[in-house]
Amino acid sequence: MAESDTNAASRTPTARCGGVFVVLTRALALFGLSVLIAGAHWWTTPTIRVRAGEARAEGPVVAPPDRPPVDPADTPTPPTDTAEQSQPDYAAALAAWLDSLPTEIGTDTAFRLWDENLALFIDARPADEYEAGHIPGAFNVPPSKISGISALLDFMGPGDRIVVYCEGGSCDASHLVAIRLEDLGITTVHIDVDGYPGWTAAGHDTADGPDELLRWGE
Amino acid sequence: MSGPPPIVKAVLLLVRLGLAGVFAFAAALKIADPQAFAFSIHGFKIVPEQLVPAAAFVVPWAEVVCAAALVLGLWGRSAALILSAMLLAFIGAIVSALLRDDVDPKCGCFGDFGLLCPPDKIGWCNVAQNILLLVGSAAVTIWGAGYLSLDALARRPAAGRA
Repeated sequence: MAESDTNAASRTPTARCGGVFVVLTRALALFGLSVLIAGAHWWTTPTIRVRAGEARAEGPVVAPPDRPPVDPADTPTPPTDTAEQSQPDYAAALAAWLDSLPTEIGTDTAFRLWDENLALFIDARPADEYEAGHIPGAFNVPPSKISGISALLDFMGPGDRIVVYCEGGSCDASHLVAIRLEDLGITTVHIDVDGYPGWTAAGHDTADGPDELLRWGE
Repeated sequence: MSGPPPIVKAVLLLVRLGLAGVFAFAAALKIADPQAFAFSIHGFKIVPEQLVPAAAFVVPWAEVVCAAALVLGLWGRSAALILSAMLLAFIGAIVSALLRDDVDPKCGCFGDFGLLCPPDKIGWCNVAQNILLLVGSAAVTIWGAGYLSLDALARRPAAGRA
């Protein structure tokens, strides 16, 4: 039978070698085709970034202003003229400091922003870690929920400052979330590189429980 | 007769279609969001930053091309060979990430890498999952595409002419 003849021929070492060569050549051809298609796709796609804040020109950081005097409403004595005058100065100094902040910040800066309610906080860690403990008021947006991040815009005003954090150190989740926010046109995004461990190590307040506003589970 | 016995050919057909399905699904997620996949690659801290965007496009499209070739059974061994090589690279990357200290597997650096495994964390489950896929693709690389393949169709007239 003809078929058994072919089979016998394919068992010779030369034919087997030829077979391996054909498989390798075809694999190379398939890979080449993939590279061509990938190139076309890349050509038609906006720039891919692996680092947040690349577009921002970062200058020297201005020193943060001293805290303003205690809120006049809390003090029994009426505000004096000097206290009233110091308020606009404080606001201007604060604005200058905020504008000079780099993309990557540490726990101290993050705490100042949180304490004076100057930024929205986003926790980029998985939901179970968020529930176990997070910075009070932070939204939970892990990278796996990244496509839903535009839902966050409902809770934001234009120009709102945002601080993203995750596990600190090697954690990249906050960078990915930050890149996404920048893609949505929010340019005032900071990454707290010390993350949640830095926050707890500094002894700042924490909260626990699920994210009640974004409700990813539903 | 030529090639492996009928039962093996039937199994190869199923393995082939299963692999094609898994890789087509995985590739669709990556192609829909190259930025997220680029970040997943970057998270492993293995690929140089300049090469990350290229890898983010070539890997999923190679998966699509190989999945299509496997469904048709066209150049099945070659397609399975490419997938085997990629799976080996994935396994190496995941194992090295799990063993190193500078990559935190808990923080979701790896995007939607879950299939049978939890997506927010990477672990030995992902290694086991990829080894399972590797066994399948290695089988197709060694024994060919099995039943209902264009490869078999191309062999038949040649055998008749001989």
